[in-house]
Amino acid sequence: MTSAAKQRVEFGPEHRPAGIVTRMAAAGIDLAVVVVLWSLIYATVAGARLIWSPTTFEWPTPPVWLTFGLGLVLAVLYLTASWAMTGRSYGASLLGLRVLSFRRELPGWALSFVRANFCVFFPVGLFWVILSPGRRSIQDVVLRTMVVYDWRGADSRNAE
Amino acid sequence: MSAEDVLPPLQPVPLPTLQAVPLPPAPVVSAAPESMPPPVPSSTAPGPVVVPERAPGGAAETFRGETYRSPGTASAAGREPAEHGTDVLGTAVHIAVGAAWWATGPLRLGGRLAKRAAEAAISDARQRSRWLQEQMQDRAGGERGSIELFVQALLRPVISKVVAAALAELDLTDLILDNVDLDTIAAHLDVEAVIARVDLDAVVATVDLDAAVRRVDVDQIVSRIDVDGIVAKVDLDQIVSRIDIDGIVAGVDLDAVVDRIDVDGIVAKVDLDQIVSRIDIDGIVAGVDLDAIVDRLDIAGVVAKVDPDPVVARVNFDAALAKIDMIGLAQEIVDGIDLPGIIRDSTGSLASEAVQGVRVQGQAADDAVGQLVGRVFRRRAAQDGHRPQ
Repeated sequence: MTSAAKQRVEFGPEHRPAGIVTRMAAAGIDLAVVVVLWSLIYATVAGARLIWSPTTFEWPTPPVWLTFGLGLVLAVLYLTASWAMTGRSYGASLLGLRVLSFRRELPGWALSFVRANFCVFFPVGLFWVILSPGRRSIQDVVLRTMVVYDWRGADSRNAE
Repeated sequence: MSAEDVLPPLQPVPLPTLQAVPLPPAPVVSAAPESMPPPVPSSTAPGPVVVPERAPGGAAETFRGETYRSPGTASAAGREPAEHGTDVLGTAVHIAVGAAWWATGPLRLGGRLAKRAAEAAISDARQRSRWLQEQMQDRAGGERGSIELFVQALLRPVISKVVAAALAELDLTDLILDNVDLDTIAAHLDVEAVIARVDLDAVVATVDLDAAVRRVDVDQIVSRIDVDGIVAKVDLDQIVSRIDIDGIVAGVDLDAVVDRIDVDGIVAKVDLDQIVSRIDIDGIVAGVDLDAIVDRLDIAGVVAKVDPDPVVARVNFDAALAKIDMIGLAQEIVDGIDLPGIIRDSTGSLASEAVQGVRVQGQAADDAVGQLVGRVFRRRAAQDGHRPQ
């Protein structure tokens, strides 16, 4: 975990801070991914119940708190793993964004977990990007992280 | 009035040619005609001694096909007094002279016969006696004229009669064959001179060659010819080797020959099916170097000249496709190519292009929002989206 957090990213002119439009689009895609994951879990549970007792099978009807709670947990886990491992979630990967620490390194698991909780439970902090001259959200300001465009260099590296 | 004035002039009478009578042991018979005095026309020569055939009109006499008209008889007939304008006296004189001439006919005949007999006897004697020949030759110059006249006047008729009687009794052909050495005569003959005298063109002109050719049985002549034997003796190789075939061919106007040939007619008579059935096509094709032929072909040029539309229109694709195992072929194709990889690369390429478009557009949108906010808050443009510190 430590070695991964210390992985540095080569900066270039193209690595500019991402704006509100791309970050919200990435967040929306990540939300969809979480919904899909939640749906998979729900389908898995329903299938298990079907296999377990096919005659008495009924679609599971979890309570609302469990549904939202499980969704929040899935979101935190998904974002923590994504940022800690690659610096980008699936939505950030599609839009060419990457989360870096103030040392321009991948955030570690701890930082990623904290930032994931901060983003899941306080998503409004993202709109501070509009007002921030450095296009930083409240989470970035508090945790000293940054979100930058990182798709031109990545494409060239992938091409190599 | 003399006798010559009264009597009409005698016409020359052709006497019959005396035939040589070979008397043994005379060696040369042909000399006899030469020794015979030729008939000399004379005013005193009598008329024909042979009993003439009297023409129907009685005005002409014929002797051996020749007609002799006696002036006396002609005038005696008295049928043309007005034409000649003679008087009665003249007519009477002519009648008298004609009667006298007719009455003296036997005398004259006897004289001529005696003359001929004497001539024959003299000639024979001269041939037999050399002395007599010399004497006759010596005396011929001075006395010849009178003797000959005398002989001709008196003996010729007699001789002619005697000779005629002798010829009637003798078979000259047998005599000649028995006594004449024809071989010797033939040996002395100048055949070339005889031939040279012959007018062959005139002779040939008189020949009816068409009739002669029509009489020839060509089939029979040809049937007698041993053609096989003749051909077997011919050295054809030698003959052919002498022929200048190149020269002959060079002189032939092949274009004219070809123009005259009715090629269509010849081809129409040819049974092509029979000819083709005899050809060993497999053997011919087996001997053909198809690779060399294909190498020589300008396939690109041939294909460029082909109009593919009519060819394709005639192709029965349904029948062709029905014979193809499309499933097996597709399976082999899919197995031979990395279809999933191709799909992945193509879809990845499309997705990459789409994602790149979204990224560019999102970046542009971010910049637009940042500029808008910057105008609202009157910030410098450089402060919006600048590099992270």
